Amino acid sequence: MSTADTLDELAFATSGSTGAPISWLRTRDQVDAETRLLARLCASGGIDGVVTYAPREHLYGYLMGVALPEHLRVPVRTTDLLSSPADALTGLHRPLIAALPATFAHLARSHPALTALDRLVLVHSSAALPSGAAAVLAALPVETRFVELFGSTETGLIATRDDPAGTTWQLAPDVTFTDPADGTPGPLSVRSPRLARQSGHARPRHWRTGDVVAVTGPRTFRWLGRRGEIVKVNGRRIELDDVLARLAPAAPGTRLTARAHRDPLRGEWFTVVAHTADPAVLAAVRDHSRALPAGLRPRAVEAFTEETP
Amino acid sequence: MTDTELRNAVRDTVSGLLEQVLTAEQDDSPLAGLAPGRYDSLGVLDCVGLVEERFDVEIDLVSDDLRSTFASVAAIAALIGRKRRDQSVLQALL
Repeated sequence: MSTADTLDELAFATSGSTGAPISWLRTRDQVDAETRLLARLCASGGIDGVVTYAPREHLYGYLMGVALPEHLRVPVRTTDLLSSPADALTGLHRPLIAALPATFAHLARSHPALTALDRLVLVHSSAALPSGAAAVLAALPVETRFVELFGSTETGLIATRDDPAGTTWQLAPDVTFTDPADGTPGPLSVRSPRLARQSGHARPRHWRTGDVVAVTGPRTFRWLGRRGEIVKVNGRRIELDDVLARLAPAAPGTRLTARAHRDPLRGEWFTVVAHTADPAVLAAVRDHSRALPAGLRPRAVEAFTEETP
Repeated sequence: MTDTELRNAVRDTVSGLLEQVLTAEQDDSPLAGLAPGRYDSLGVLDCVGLVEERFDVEIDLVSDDLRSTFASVAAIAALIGRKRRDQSVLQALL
């Protein structure tokens, strides 16, 4: 996050690490409106502190780790996957935890740190939940309220849901659909007073996300998927085409494709498929993939076979 | 399983995770240094899941400091050995 075009605007980059970074500008009034909304949706029962796993340079991390605690005047502590949550939770009784997908695996192995809490609000944002998330939530040894946020750096909060096994999202109070509901799958397009703008551009009146949804009611939709070339690995947006472009020099003339799949830790991950039977080419792509920055590495590099999905 | 067999099995498991061959001489080397692109915090949690599954132990992130217990093959083997001994003692008491 940084101050940008005017002193009244804050800039947040999209969370991915591929391609050229794009800054999205939102006014302080927009950030304040979103903060008040989050306080109402996530902390209406009262919290006495925030523990966050989310990096503050991105919108979600800033809202949960800076703006919301300031608004509610509660302490905030940042933690990570290698630390015991007991340290961050010390002295708190009704915390809100701002989670990333891998937080579920972390909390599943941290029950002793949670037993002394009175209650917990667990917030998760805009990435596929790990496959075991519902079971992890059900087993937590503390009364837990789950709130999942749907949105992006470009849009801010669009919708929420409170059932990790559910499929229906409820629009945020100040958001409306651009297109009328007819239940058929289509791109999600919304109007919101909290849409960000790019530098040099006017603020958009509506925004079409990369998501495919079925609008099921005036203010509800089912999420069906995302346009294929994007995955969110532990909440980090990865453009698969960019990853393939980085690997292409290792296999001139060989078609490379990427297949996104669920991951029990990261929510989503991806596998690169090399359309070749040449083991030397496959080895070269694997070597090249190991040299990618940590956040961009595929789970595996595989040769295309008849069984490849 | 002897300590040597356990350490070999841990090395085999971690080698598979990191997709690179690890030797006994590297048992005490920090895994984050041997595989910096793979053994980040997410890689450590991947390793925790694999170790639980393969060696039938439960890792408790409150008492088992991952920065030390999952730093190297030797450290992971030592943790599993300790947990198995604790399990044996508990079973003997029951």
